[in-house]
Amino acid sequence: MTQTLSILLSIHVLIGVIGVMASYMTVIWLFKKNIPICSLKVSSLIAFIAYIITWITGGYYYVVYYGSNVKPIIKEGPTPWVHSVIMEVKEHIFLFLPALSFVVLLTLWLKGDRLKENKRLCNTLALVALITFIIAISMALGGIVISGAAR
Amino acid sequence: MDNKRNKIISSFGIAAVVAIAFIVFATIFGELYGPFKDWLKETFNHHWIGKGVIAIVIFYLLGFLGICKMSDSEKAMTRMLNIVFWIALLGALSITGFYLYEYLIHV
Repeated sequence: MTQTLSILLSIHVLIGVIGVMASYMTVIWLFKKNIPICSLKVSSLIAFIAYIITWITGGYYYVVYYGSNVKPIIKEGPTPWVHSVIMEVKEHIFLFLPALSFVVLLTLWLKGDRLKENKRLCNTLALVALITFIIAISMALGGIVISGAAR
Repeated sequence: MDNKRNKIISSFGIAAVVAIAFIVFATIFGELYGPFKDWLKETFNHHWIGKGVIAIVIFYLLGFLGICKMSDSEKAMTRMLNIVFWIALLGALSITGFYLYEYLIHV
């Protein structure tokens, strides 16, 4: 692997973890009694930007290197299901994240002041933030499994 | 101003629903019908890039174009967010179930 690809993969992992943490904080803060609107706006923005960066860096690595170098190793190894199931699911479900995190971001920035008064809106937004977080953490865990299978 | 904000969120909510539905459709249909996956590969250099690019275009295009046509009520906007949650959950389960099934029948 070239140095550029190694750097891109490291950025993909690090920024991805930051995105997961930001989504986690968004969920936790939405369930708080005193909702910290400013913090929520920041965490949702960080999550959205992180998923975009993770998408571009991971996507480049996946298209340029993974398919021709890592995929054959996994498929011929003792755990071919890691590619056939985990990687296939990861690469496709990941595509939900930019849209989901943008909807969370938009709602918090445009209607953040209504969350304290409208509990129904707050709870529904918390559900969208929760599914975003669950998908994001599944992606991170999937990444760990894939790296393990490739070694 | 508040009504306009409801419209914007509702519009991007429905755009997210359509984009996610497209990703699920393109993923499953692409595996079942080779020529579709090949078309994505030929047009976008890689099938995954094709799905991502089309999904993002659908999302922002519908999001911006739909603003003026959306309901301005907060209740409708909340309902739309609820639909976004359910479509994301069902979409994730569909893709996972599909690849799990595909793997198991070929073992």
